[in-house]
Amino acid sequence: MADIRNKKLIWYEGVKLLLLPTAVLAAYLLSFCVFLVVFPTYYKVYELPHAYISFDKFAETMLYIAFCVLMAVYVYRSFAYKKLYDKVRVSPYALFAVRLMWVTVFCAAATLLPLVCGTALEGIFKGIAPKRYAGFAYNPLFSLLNRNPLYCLFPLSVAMFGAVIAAAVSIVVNAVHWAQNPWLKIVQAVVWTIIVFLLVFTVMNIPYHRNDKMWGMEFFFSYPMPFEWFTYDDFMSYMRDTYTTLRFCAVSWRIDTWIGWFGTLAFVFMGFASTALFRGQINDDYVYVKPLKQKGKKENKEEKNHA
Amino acid sequence: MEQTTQQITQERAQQTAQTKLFGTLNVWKNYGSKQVLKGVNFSLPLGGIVGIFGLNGSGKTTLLKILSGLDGRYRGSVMKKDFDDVAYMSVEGGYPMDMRVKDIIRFFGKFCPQQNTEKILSSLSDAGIKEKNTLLALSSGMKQYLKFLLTVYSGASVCLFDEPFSNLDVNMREKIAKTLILESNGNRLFLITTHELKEVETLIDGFLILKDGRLSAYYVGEEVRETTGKSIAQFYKEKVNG
Amino acid sequence: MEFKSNETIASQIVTYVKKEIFGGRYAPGQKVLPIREFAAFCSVNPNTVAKVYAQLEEESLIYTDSTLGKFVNPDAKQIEQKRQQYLSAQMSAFRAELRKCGVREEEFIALAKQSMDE
Repeated sequence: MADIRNKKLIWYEGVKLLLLPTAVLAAYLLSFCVFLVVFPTYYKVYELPHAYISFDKFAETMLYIAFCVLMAVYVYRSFAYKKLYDKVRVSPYALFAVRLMWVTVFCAAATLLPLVCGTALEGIFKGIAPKRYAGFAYNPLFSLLNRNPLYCLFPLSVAMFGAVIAAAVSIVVNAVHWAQNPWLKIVQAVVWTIIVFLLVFTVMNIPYHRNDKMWGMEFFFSYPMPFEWFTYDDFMSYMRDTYTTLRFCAVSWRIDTWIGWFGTLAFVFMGFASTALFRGQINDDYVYVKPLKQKGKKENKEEKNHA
Repeated sequence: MEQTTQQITQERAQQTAQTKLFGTLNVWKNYGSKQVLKGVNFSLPLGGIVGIFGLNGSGKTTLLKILSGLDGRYRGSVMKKDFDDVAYMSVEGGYPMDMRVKDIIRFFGKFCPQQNTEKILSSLSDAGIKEKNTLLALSSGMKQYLKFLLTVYSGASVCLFDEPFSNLDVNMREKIAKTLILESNGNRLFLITTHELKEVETLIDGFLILKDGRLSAYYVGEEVRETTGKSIAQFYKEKVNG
Repeated sequence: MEFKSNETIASQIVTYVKKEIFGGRYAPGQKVLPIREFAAFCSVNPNTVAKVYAQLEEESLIYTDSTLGKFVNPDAKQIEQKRQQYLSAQMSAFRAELRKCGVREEEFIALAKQSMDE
């Protein structure tokens, strides 16, 4: 019976969690189709490359929005549905694992879609006005043309990032659930958000050797990645750099580093550990109790002997 | 009249060949420095309707939360022999307010495969509650009734009802009593906490009294009447104040 | 259904059913409600009703057909016999009460006639 329930949990939670974020993706796809048809028809050919860059930034914004919507739904469901899932005795570990799985799947899909569309768009626009593109310096986020094929791992990077954020959010949510006093809940929320943030910050600043040369990925990180982690210096250089847009502060896990993989797994583990720590034991003892001994009721023992 | 846990277990088990047991073993629970449950022990075979009575603040809801598995922070253990499923009708909310009635029923139906969805839907329509209502739109009595239906028709072997009669009018109370009677069988145990002693006077097989954090032995309803000549309500009132 | 508190529910229901049978409202051979439905009708615990039916079966007022359910004893003569037994037991108890008030035979018959006329 546990297998049937877990299957149902996977699909039920998947649909409920991803409905709104997928709507954002659908909006993006619609805009893409419209843009693809409308722009070349109605606008001057010389504007194509600039328009393409604008659309690339639009796609990036949509990705951020989809991700924020996903996290908002994730937090909402973590709070609003906790008692309900407890009542039907769904394991909190299974619930966390299912949600984590869907977050990573969605992040990968939400990156893959603009990547494919952006590549197609660039190809089409270049086909329409190849001369306009000659000499035009640009660095779009969502395009595979003229890139190292390993750029295809871009969705994986975002998926890992999604897993880390989901786990971090779950740590805070579990900490808040643990407190029973409303004031303590607020304290827990603030304290644990800071703790989680510091953990991420610390891990990211552990000096690491990039393995890109080992894996042939040295060209990989000359291309912009979303959710670019930046230290204060990076932040200032981004502010000064006119060709890159300002990305808001978030974590990026470089998949070419051991610390990136280790960090992701560590956060996922911490997500499960916080469930164990804050939810307490769920006592499911299947103990058959021998009939309690009673003073002066020795005849029952004799009955047992006869039976 | 006052049967120990051991006696009732053996007797009932012999009568009905019932191997399934439900109870606790030495459960202790405290909220901060306050000891709410002090070594609660009981063991009931499945098959019947049992009341748990106690004054306000005696720890009935706490005990039910522990029995249902919703509260994992206690010492001791909950004992379930030869079965697993426990359904719980709680006092406080616990449902997301954006869900509609049909969503909640579908949700429970998904995760409680033995749910009797048709009966739930027909009972709701008899009471005038529409499937497409959001939970916000229901009065507290209707929410209570919905919770009751979801619990009693869940198909679970043990159903715990925390104050099922509160907030309900006379007709609903009768409906609930009749539903409990029709749904009970030799393989199910219904545990009810309530202050409405008169409503459950004839409904229960027996009862336990929770006083000062300790659970009394099991009292058989009919024997109380026979030997003391008092109603369960009178007997309980004397016991809990004595 | 209202119940007194100083007698077991089972015995009160047994009395009720007996009165229904002896009063003719449950005809001989008539089907009676299954345990659970009768319990719902009386708003009492099904185990109590099970005891009631068990006692009535012991007294041969009701029998169980394994496939068709429970029925009132179809033997009208036997029921009449039981009815007479019941009535005379009630009568003896009543006479004992009246004797305590000093009622003798003539007064008793006069009181009986009076109550029949009412």
